[in-house]
Amino acid sequence: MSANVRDIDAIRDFRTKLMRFAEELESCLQGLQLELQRAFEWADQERPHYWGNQARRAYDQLAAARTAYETCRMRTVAGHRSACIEEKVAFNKARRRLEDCQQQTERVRKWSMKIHHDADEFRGRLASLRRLVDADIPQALASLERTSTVLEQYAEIHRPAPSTDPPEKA
Amino acid sequence: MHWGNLQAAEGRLQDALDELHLAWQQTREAWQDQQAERFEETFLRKIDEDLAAVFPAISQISQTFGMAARECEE
Repeated sequence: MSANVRDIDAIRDFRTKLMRFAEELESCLQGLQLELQRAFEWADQERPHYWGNQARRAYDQLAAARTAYETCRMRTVAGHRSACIEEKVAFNKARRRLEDCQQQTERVRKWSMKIHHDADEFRGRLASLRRLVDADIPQALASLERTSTVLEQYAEIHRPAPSTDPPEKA
Repeated sequence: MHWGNLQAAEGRLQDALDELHLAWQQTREAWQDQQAERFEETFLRKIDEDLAAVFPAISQISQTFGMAARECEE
């Protein structure tokens, strides 16, 4: 097979750029893995912890609002029971908040499952990049190295011998 | 929760791939034999294909995380 290479250094330069590409790929892979890890912590720990706390707080607020509402209803002023409108509004608001928190807790659980499912598929794609970095690109680099070395050796053998003629007199 | 690092990684990968393509075009001007063609077929095509499959996957996971963030925050 004949070689058609005008500049062996061009192959070496490309080899250097391919190495840089592999380094960038490695850096991006690590960044993407970190993002996945961050998403798992967010969905599995941070969010459940947050909504659990909010639900407990909402439960306490509902208990306090219920007590205030019932106390108000028992109260009579000049023989009339109070409408307790403000207390009823506060009680309903506290009840809605608790329901929201409970729904969010369930929603977080479902999103956590979805995140893990999608992340598993995503990691499958990342595995092909990992193979590029660990196997394919090193093979490509080795191939470029072999090609450059062979061409350099060939060029060295076929380099014209230095002239032995005496220098011309001026 | 902000998931901008995913899109940043996608941008970095695209930039790196563009630079590699450019470098290869320049190399091909000086290296024009069958071995160069074979190198392109064997290695560079594989890099292109693997990255082409990863870009939509990054967009997809980024979308999933974004939707989760919107639904699971206050």
